[in-house]
Amino acid sequence: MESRFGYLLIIPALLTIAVVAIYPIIDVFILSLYERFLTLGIDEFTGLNNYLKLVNDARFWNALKNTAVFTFFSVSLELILGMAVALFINRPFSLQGLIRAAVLLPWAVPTVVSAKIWAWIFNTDLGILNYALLNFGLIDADLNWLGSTGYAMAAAITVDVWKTTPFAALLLLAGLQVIPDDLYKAASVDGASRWQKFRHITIPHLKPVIMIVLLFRTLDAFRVFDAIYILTGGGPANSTETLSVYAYKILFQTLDFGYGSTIAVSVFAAVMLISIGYISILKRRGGLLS
Amino acid sequence: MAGIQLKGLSKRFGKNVAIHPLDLKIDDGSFMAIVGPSGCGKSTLLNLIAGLETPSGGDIIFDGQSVLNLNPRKRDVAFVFQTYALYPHKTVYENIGFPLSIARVEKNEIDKRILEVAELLGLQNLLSRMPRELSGGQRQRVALGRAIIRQPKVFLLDEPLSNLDAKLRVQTRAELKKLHERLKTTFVYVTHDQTEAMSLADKIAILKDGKLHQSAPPREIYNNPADTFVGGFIGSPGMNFIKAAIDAEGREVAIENMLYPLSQPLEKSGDIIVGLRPEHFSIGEHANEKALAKEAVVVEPLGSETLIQTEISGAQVVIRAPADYNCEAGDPIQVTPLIENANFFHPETGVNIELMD
Ligand SMILES: Nc1ncnc2c1ncn2[C@@H]1O[C@H](COP(=O)(O)OP(=O)(O)O)[C@@H](O)[C@H]1O
Ligand SMILES: [Mg+2]
Repeated sequence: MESRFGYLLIIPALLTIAVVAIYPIIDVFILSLYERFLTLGIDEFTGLNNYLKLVNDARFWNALKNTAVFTFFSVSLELILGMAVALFINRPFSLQGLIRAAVLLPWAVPTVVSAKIWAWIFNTDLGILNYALLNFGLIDADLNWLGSTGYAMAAAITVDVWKTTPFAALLLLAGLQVIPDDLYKAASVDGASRWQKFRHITIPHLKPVIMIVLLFRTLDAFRVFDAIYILTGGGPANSTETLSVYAYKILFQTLDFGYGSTIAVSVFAAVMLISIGYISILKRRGGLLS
Repeated sequence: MAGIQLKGLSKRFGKNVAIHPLDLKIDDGSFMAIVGPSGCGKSTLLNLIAGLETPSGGDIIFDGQSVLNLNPRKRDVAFVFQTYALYPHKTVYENIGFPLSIARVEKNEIDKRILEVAELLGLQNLLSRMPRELSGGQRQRVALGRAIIRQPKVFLLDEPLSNLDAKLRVQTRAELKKLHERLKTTFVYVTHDQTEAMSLADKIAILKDGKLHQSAPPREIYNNPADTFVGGFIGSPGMNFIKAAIDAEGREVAIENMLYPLSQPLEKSGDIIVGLRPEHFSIGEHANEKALAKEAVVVEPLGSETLIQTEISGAQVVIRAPADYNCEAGDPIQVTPLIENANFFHPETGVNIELMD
């Protein structure tokens, strides 16, 4: 009786989720089963045809690879740098509050703005990066950072790392602050080195937070759109084209709604798989706060 | 094993002085209790000895050698924390063995020693548990086990019993004492509970506001406190302090309008504070020539004794009477201070006159 009442109470929440999340997902999935070009007036049901096309689409596989590379490097770097920043600002020092606030700044800047700023930094003729490297004698001539296939992805990863390291750092800092100081003292007396304290106390305590950071950041990075769209537009030669950018182009530049939806569904499926993977790891460890 | 000597040791946190320069000698193999009210600097002192804090001045000497430049590990001390500080992600087995595995002791040797320690502390059946699956008393023993397994020179214990309930506390107290007798290692034991200090220690150091007030064996502290703070802090209830006056020759003391001869003359005359333990009064219904006529203000029958509160020279005084003493609040009582047991304190500084240089 009581449990039935409980279900009754969550109905509004479930309805909201259904309307804003589940309905669009289903709609996109249905759309992915059609061939629909608004401009050409084509609109017919083609079953799984689009999916067959997807599997044989080299550009899709390239986008998937780019997405994976982008996700792997940006998330790894964000975690490592975020940990370093968190450890650094967790120690007591003067101006602590100011530094902590300053660290958050890149996170507070909208991605569109930070991507534009970085686009100027990377600019071949006018960018400060080339200017600095030339002055320090590290390069002989201006490099075309965003226009060469070798550098563009690295540039995109740099922008993402710059923006979201603070987010990782902040979550990790919160995790660091609840570790009792007595544990570190006990470890000192027990003879542990700095590294051993980090490994035996800090890491086990931070594991749940690390998992959360990885989950959030992986999902975010996998869907990356705005930073890359502004920085390189997916170029040069599709070398930075990620799944979201590809889907956007097919949907809104080609206006191929059916196939664009198919790519979108593939992003959704990948994100679902990643989430399920992370959550099952978290669950196996006995809850988020174990 | 090590004897410890603190020489002019002090500690400041910014402008805040946690420990004023102090000297203290802790004999090899002894049980030293450091006792004082909360915030007096006990933990700081222990952290300094362990090497977890750096002193602002002075020296710390183990067996004649300064250890100031040694980190906690090199000092070879073990620490038991009030919070136990067990590693929450390690089993009891791993917790106890941690100091040895850090020191890269051979696996077989670690196993052997963990089992020895577990047996000593009755932890054999808990070795595979996680700390969160243990009761407070069990955690406390694991913390002890982690300290013992090192076979350190010195044990440092920071209020190790204060998170246990009253009954377990008394029981564990006795076990600690047995453990010390068995290990014969130097123990430095911090507590805010004077009963604990009195019952465990060979010697007690009393700290207040970062200043060392006295360091002596329990009986000596009880019988001859260095000042009014120590007298009031040690004992339950603490010493009573009564305003009085000494005659010009230092042979008699006047309390209210009654004169009491001193067994030994004092080199002081005029105002004085007389310190008397609750048991240093005789109490009755019938007047005698040395009795003060009083009224019982509060009567507390505690079973083993009865505490009677009254007022002498404007100060509240608690008197220890036999359990069967029949009396109610408001009843008249005849109180005789047993002056031969009294301590005399300076009226302004509160320092024990007989212990003054
Ligand atoms: N790390 C610290 N930073 C600043 N002040 C401290 C620190 N540790 C202790 N103190 C101060 O030193 C004094 C003694 O503290 P502590 O040694 O913990 O007292 P106790 O253990 O006797 O309760 C207190 O006033 C406390 O606020
Ligand atoms: Mg303390």
